[in-house]
Amino acid sequence: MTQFAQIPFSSIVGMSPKVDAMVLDLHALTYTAGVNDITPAGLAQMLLLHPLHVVAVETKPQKKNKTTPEAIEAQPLTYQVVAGFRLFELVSAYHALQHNQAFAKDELNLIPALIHPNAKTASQLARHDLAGSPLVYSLSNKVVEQLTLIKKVLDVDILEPFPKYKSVRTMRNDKKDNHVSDHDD
Amino acid sequence: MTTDYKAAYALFLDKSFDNKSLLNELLQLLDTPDQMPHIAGVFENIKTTLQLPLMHEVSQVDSLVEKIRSLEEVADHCHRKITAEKQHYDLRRDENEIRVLKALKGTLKRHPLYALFYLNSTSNQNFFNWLRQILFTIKPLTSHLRPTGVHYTHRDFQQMSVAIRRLTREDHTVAAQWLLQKDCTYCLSYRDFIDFLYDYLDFFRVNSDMHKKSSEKKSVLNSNNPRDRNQYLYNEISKVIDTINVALGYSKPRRYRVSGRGGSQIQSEVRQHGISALTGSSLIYQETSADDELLDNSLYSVLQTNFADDEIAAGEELFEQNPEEMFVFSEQEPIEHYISAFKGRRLAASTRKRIERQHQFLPTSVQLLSKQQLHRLLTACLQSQPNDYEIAKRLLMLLLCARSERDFLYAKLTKTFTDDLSAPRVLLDGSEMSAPAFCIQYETDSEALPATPLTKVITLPLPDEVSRWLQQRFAENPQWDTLKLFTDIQYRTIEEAFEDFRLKANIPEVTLNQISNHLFWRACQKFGSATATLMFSKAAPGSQARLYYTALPVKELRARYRELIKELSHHSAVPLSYQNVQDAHIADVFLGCRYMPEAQQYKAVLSELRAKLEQRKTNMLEGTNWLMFHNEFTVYSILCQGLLTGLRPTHDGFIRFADILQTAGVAVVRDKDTSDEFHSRTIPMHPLAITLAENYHNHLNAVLGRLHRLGMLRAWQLLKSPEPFFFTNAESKKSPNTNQKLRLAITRFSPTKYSELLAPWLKLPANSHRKFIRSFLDMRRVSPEIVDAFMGHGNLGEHFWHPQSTLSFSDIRQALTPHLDELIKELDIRAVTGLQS
Repeated sequence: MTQFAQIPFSSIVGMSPKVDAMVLDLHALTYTAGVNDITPAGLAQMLLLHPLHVVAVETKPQKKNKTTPEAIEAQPLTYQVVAGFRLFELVSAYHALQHNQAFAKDELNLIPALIHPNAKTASQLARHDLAGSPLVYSLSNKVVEQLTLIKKVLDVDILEPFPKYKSVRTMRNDKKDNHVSDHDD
Repeated sequence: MTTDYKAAYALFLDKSFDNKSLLNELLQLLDTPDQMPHIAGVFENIKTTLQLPLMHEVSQVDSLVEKIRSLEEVADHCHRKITAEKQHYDLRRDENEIRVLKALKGTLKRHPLYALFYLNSTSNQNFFNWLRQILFTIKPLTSHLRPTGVHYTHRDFQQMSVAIRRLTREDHTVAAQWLLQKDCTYCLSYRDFIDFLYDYLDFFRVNSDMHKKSSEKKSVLNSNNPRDRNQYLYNEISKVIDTINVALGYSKPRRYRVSGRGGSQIQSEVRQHGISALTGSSLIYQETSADDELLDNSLYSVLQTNFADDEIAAGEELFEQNPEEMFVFSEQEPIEHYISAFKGRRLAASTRKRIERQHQFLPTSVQLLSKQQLHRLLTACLQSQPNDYEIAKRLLMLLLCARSERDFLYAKLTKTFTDDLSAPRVLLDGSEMSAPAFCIQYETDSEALPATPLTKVITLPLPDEVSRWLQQRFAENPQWDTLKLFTDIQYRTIEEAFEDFRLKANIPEVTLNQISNHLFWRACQKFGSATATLMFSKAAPGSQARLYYTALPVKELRARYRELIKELSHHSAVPLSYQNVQDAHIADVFLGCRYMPEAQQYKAVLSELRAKLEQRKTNMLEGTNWLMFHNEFTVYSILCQGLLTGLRPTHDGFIRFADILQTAGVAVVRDKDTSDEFHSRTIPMHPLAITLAENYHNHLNAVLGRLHRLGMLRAWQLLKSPEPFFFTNAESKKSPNTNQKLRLAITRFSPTKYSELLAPWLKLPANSHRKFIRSFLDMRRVSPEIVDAFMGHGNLGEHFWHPQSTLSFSDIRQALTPHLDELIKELDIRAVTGLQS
């Protein structure tokens, strides 16, 4: 049974080794928005919408003669991400940046996640995430125009967590023609 | 050691991996015994270890990273092989036996390192992981750093193995305590790891009973006296430190052999350069004017400087370093006395304060000539009687060339200047004087690098009135064909002749030193000590750093000399003028520091780098293009910002966005490590320099996501989140096999890596931009104090960040901004954006 839970960010130890290499080979992909373009609140909303898909890591019993069953029980569960890579990436980058700051806030410490019981079906999910998500969610050409359209439709306060839209506005004011900017790639 | 691993070849080599020599290398680095007992545990450990960021010494070398990463792939392959094949029980980690001694019985002596690779610790796994990284990389690193080879002996590692394993013994309670309490999360370099060991030694000393004297006999281990035993354990770890230090090329300080060199020899050396190297990083400086040595008021100081690897790599010189310790002498002693006194005593703070005060309130009035004295001296010389022609000639040369009489000992007359550089020359028509240029002392020989051309001679134009007078003297002198500039003053020395002359000229209080130093001090005041030194080939007291960063065109020096003469004429009310100011016959060469880049070079570098970045931007998806883009973007940002801030290319080499107070437009930087607590400088930032920092910061944020995909985000954090950083071995796809993994490492800024990446565009030392900017500002006549504050130069007690400095911050900004704007225009410095996501 897949179950939904809020898990601490620190309990996520990384990506599932089965998809690690695939993600690595996609290191050069470029997205419309980076970690600067979404506020922590925005990220939290996105996570609620698309929870991370994780599996629990099997902890192998170590040193039989030393470790008691209670000790194994006491060990906190750790998870590996099998799908939702892009959001996981953004959350990790956000935490890495926070780490630098003395006044780090404890935002995004609890991550909404779907815990899958079976690693095998989960790895299938991983491939689908890598293949399908970009197809379904990415805008095709004329990204700026499309974002402007979205911006027109929505209220200003809804767009608050996504600072990217502000730069879209300034871009429009500066250059009224169909200038293809860096943001278009 | 064994080189033939038959069992291993049979097990690990297959179709997907058949590189025998690579496997051999891996097994040898791991010091594997033939039977490979429990090797799965070793593979597990080495994989964990190599997932940590590589230490700085290793991570900045492309070839080492390539090698380590390919060995990591082999280890991964081998480990998977064992876990897949069910029958290899004796190769798996022995889960039932946690004691290394038992698990690896029989192999410890011949394969001491293998045990350390196998070892698992619950109390401080980090410490052992870093240790394993050192053990795994120490041999490749050492052979890379010194190809001719430092050979470790088997005994080195055996000692190390025993010492480290002893730390994990349950009865060694002090070590167990230390391991539990020591935080070993971060270990950026070999030095950091050595610091762990020193920390342990301190902990051990505090927590166990020890002798004061050291004893190294092994038998004491069984001794009943715990103090003996503890002493042995202490020394054992010290030896581990020594072994690791060898990889860092750490050589013990050379012992200086006192060979009976007397004071007279120091005298000449100090006079020539104002400095002389004693032993390693100790220097003798002359704190007063070089000509004062005949008088009793000369001061010498022996300095101990702090000179780190980074600074050598950045191209800095020993002689420009700020003193860390200082010892002041008022008279010259034989060199042994300096050394013994220097080593024997600590610097007396009061003496140091005296030097500082001297720098701040130098009583120049007593050394400069007054207007009246100048007038009397010049008129007396130019209107002298035939009897006094010779002394008048000498005094004029002393005054106008700001040299002591001794400097003219071999001075000659000549029809044209030739390449003979041995002594001063004066043209027969008296219009020009040439002399050997000041020779800046370097530790290494100059290479032929593309940079500003330097000359070895300075020629100064003498004013018309003086040259006419000289021409007459040369013409009427019956001895002129001997071509000696000075002829003998009959039966007298210059001092005696001067005694008479100064009474006639009515300047009884003037001394020869005052005459020969007057223009030099004026030049120091007006143009700064670097110009004065280059113009008059004479070392100015105090910090030599400016000299290593200034190169000026000879034409500019001549123009400045004319200004000095004009001022002299104005002060003395004696007409001294130049009818025709033509320097057409002077070549476009420079005097001063070596390797100064030309403006054209920088302009070309910046535009080529920008073009390259644009080109990469269009093709970010292909291969490792964005990694290369990152490296080049980093180099570009550092170079541009460096040109606008004059930051030293050490430490981070870059002023981060987080270090800038944006509203005030200032940054707090620390680009030098000295014990001087004021060495954090606050420097004004040009808006463009801030934009560069901001763009880089945004780029970095975008790169973090990609780092995560590469699995290196954690490594970046373990390196304490360096900004800026470089990818090592980014162009790694050399083999035709397209499935080859990326063999990368990230490494924080280092001058070596920076100049390596800049080399395709500009092959000059990393600190060249500082030479360029100092000379650029000097050429534009920015006040020397302002330039000093900007560059971080200054005499002891005169630094801008000194508590007594009254230099205003806004003055610095106002003085600099227009020139930096010009610089931006001239070099076409532009901020470009990096990756967006």
